[in-house]
Amino acid sequence: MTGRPTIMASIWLYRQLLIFYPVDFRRAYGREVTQVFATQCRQTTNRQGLLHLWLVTLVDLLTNALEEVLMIANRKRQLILVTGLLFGLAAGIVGSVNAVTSATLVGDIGEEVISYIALLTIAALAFGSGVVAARASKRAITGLWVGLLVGGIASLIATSARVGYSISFYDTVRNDPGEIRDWIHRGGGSFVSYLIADRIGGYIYTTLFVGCICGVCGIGGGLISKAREMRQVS
Amino acid sequence: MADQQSGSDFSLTPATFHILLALADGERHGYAIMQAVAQETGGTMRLGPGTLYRSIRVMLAHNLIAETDERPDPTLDDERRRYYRLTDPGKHVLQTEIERLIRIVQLAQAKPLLAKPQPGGAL
Repeated sequence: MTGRPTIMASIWLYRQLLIFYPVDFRRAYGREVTQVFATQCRQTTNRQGLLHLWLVTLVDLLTNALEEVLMIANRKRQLILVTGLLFGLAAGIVGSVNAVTSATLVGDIGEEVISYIALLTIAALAFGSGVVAARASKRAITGLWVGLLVGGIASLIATSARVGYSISFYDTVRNDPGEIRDWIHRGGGSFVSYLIADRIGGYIYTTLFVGCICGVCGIGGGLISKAREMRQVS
Repeated sequence: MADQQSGSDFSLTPATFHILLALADGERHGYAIMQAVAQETGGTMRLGPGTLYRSIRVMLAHNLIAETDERPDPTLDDERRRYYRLTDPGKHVLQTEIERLIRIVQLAQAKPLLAKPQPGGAL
């Protein structure tokens, strides 16, 4: 039989190597996996047998830990994508309402109120997506990625709605005192050049602006979700 | 823990198939499953602890096996070990897989180029 100190050292080392497994797997099966390895160690008759066991076990540990980590990463990616798409779509609809609302329709104050409500709603949706994603993935940082995704999708939809609206309702937009008329008066160029210059800039500006707000709200949601989870555990 | 899913859409890997086969004889703990698999495959399949418990986790999630209780194995040591048993969906999946394998063997035996089986059952 292999010496007791060697076996104890092997078991200790194996237990340390379990760090390669994701925390959920370690919590659920760490004790049992170690128990099986310990029994295998005790069944070895000499150091050569123990060395062979170690070689086989190391390959088993590393391949399974890698597969487990990749599986979780894949699941997390899907989760971020689905949450971001759903919340982003909702935020995009809110942003589109704001994008097609002009002062000629609701007045200057009305337009301002709607834009604030829309921004707050989008921020709340980004916050909510951060809470959902962080709760499911158990990591606060996931909230940031989901928030950014929500911001990106929302600005893409809203700005596209604005461009579509400008093209479809050219006459209405042309009479908009705040936009095209000023643009043309300033010598900005034709309606087409307005769409290209102003709206492409609008895409970039909106994406950066809404993206930053949503990213901050998403990580905020993630941190709050994580803090609540830790309070429940303690 | 993963949500419990139906076993009907479960595709068996060689490891999960042999674990289910080992549990067909009755409930066993992890190390006993490893030993049974090694013995039943003539040593050609030796499961490591990681492969064993990842397979167990997947099969638990698909309700193919269930935990029974935790108790020491008198033949090994006085440590408490978690035992697992086959569930009805697990038996069904195992039976379906065995029938599929039998059909493949029958198909292979019908091929003229392959040798006819020996009376002992080997190809």
